[in-house]
Amino acid sequence: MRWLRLIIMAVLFGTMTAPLSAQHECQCGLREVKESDNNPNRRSGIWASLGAGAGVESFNAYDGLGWANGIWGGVVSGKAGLTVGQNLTIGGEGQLWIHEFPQYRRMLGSIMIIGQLYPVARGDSFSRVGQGGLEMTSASTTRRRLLSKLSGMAGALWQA
Amino acid sequence: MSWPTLDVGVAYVVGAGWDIRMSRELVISPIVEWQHFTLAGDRTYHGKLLNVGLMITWSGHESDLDQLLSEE
Repeated sequence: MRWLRLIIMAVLFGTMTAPLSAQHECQCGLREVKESDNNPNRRSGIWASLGAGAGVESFNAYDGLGWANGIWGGVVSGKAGLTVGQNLTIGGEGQLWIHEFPQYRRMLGSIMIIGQLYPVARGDSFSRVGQGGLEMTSASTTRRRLLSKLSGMAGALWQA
Repeated sequence: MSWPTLDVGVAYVVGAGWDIRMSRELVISPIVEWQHFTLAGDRTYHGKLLNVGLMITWSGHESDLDQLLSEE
């Protein structure tokens, strides 16, 4: 019986003190509810981003040969923009793809306006679309080949 | 002399990714994107570029702006 009394006393003590401790933690009263209380800053304000990766490029010159074989290259990108809402961010992006051939370097660059769509406001997955205002390729010879060309031109001029 | 060649055109890109939050302001995002472009130089051709990569993104917060403005 004595154990039973002790258990009943402990239960009573717990039920009396639990609301007190809960009251101590409670921040009752009026207070401003910030957006961050409901949404821990998923997306807001300005943003800037750097990217790196790899990409495979192919082209079709409509010369009857179809699409060329894919060529892998390194990709670097930089972008910045604004948060329109929890479902949309917009910005500008510059991207550069580079492949080094033995005799020359092929580069493919773009400047785009992009939008990132988050289907779920509190989610982390996104899809992105962009429209490029400028797309340029450059196939440059290596410095050694350029120097040999320049020296050849200088030699021809000298002989003339 | 064929150096350099420069072709200019228009492009569009579509892609998908996933934000992995590292801290309050930093996010790392694996991304896959498909780019299609049409270039016009001494020849006209279409190209496509499939990219995979990682983005690291810093983002500001409106609450930071509020604090900055209230101090002033």
